Amino acid sequence: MNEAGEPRTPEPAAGAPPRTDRARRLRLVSLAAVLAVLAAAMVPIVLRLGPPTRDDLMDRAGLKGKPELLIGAKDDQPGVSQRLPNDVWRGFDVDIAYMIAGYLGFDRSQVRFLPMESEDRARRQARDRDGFVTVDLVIASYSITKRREEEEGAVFSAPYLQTEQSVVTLSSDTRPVSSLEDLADRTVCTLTTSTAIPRLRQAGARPIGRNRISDCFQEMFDGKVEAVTSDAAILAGFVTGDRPSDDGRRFPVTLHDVKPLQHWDIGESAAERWGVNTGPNEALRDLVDLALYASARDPENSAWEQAYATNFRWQQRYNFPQPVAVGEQPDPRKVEVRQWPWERIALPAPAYPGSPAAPAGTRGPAGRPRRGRRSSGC
Amino acid sequence: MLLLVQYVSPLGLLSALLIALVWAFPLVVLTFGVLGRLLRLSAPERFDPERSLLASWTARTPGWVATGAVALGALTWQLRFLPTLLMLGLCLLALRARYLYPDQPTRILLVSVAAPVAAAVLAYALLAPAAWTALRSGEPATAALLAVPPVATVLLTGPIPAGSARAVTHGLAYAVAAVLPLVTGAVFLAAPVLPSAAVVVAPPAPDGATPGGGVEPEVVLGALITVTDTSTVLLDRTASVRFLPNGRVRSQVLCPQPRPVPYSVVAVHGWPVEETVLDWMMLRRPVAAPDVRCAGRLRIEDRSGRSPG
Repeated sequence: MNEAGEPRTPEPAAGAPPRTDRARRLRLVSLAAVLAVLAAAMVPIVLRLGPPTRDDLMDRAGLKGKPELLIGAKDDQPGVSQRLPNDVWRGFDVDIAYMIAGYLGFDRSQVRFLPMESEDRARRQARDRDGFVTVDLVIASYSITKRREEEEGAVFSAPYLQTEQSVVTLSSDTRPVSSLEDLADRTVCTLTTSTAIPRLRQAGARPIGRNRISDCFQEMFDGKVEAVTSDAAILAGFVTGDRPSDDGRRFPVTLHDVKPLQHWDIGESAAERWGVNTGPNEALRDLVDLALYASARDPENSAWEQAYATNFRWQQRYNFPQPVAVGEQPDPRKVEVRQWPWERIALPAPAYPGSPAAPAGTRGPAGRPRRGRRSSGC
Repeated sequence: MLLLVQYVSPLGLLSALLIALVWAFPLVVLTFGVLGRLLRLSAPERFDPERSLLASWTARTPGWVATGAVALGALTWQLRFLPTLLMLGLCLLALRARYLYPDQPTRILLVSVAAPVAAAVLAYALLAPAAWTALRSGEPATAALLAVPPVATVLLTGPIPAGSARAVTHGLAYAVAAVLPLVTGAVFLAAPVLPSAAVVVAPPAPDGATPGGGVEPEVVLGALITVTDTSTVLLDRTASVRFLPNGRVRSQVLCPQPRPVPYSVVAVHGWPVEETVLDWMMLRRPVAAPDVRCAGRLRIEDRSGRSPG
């Protein structure tokens, strides 16, 4: 119907009763209010305000089109991260690296591990053939400390493992160690970057620093030092040595004159929380945190539990009285991302094969409560 | 740019324009229709189709256009805007009834009070849980869009003061006319015109060697412009046009256009508020894992140097 031809019988505007006037004014005010509310509601929609999607983060992190993921890791720490003679990498850090890489869309063949020294972890510099390259992620038993974040420029993800500082001596050394003070007048080796060195001095010990923890153990086997101190999870692998796991697997021993070792709980150290150094790219850190969140919160994702069981749980019997590491993943950081409704219901599992269901009892004895004091900074 | 103009078909460009902007038609028709009728009812002496574009539009637009616009809006507007569509439609109906049948108070009461109240009750019965969810999840914009229009319809089905009618209606019409091209332009520019593709290209061969010997191929991501006798022409992610010799192309795959992930987590009885009726009926989740080449990575067969079968 064309309203041009409709009858024009307008309502009288002038001389309308006061009630109609009030109704008209009320309508005008309502119209203004409704339009104001609707306009305000449209602003975030038109400007598309909201958290990024996982795809946006991948783009911002520079992972789109990236052929391989470079990960800096320690190569001399059995159980944590060890490069075997056939260039295969094995250990808890390695499994966590594969889990994160899988979440980022890289399969195992697209992940390249590069050996890294302790002092290069903040700068993410790793050896590659004849030179050094900057790796994408540092997953190298790297404890989260304020000093490293504020002074050295490391950017940490949420923690992926919680352990504590401990001490290892030769089993033949019968002097018990229950605190750092018991190491007074002994020569103690630790990593150069460790913040335990001043504390050892304070306790009256003679600390020496080495770049690689395996050098410390070699010097202890050679009789040059009397004790080694670092994170329990790192030391445990050396104490376990080449003794078999439940499925008969052993750590390859590359040191010589190996002797039996004793792991000591010094009972006063702070919780050491290992994190991934993602560098200054916040999108990459958010993605790593998302991967850790998926691993911690998704009941179907047992990659972390599997990594713990494969690398640490079986070592516990060789390391009493010192707990190797807390057997539960530390609380992850929740990162807000936009997701499809079906993704919100079920978090995506890692893309790489190898996250089977956790065996019964993998959440075994919970670790000791966090004591939250000083950090050895390993 | 010239390359794009040469290869992108005008029909494709027009189709993209229509598909991307089909929602704007109901918005224009209904907004201008309501504003024009509001002016005609509130200040008939200032409703001059000869001098006012808004008045002329209102006088010349047939009723079936508005009906069609409501139907099109119902299909193409997201769920969160449907209460606003309902408000516009009912306002239009009530303003028209008041203008055409001023001497039938029962009819006016029915169309301008009873129908909006009934619609509001029905709308709240359906939308109230979703509006509450939106408030609790920190989405006041979604809550406002769901909750405000039904009650506003009840208040806005009659004339406004004659003195301010022309200024209000024309001011709003100008505001809509000014903002709409910006929004539609932004939507159209973001609409994909070329298909996304990933092309695996062998590196240039050194003299006397087979192509790609010893060096890993590269995955080029971008929008596929065309394939000629000699090259595959691609607009890559850095917005530069690359001519990839066909002899070096190992494999290629079309990548799905990423659909925008919704901003809102609110759904009305399982219908996400950012889905249109059409989207909702076709709501689909990916059934197959995306091709790794679309993430810029090589497949194992591409890495080992085998040609596609």
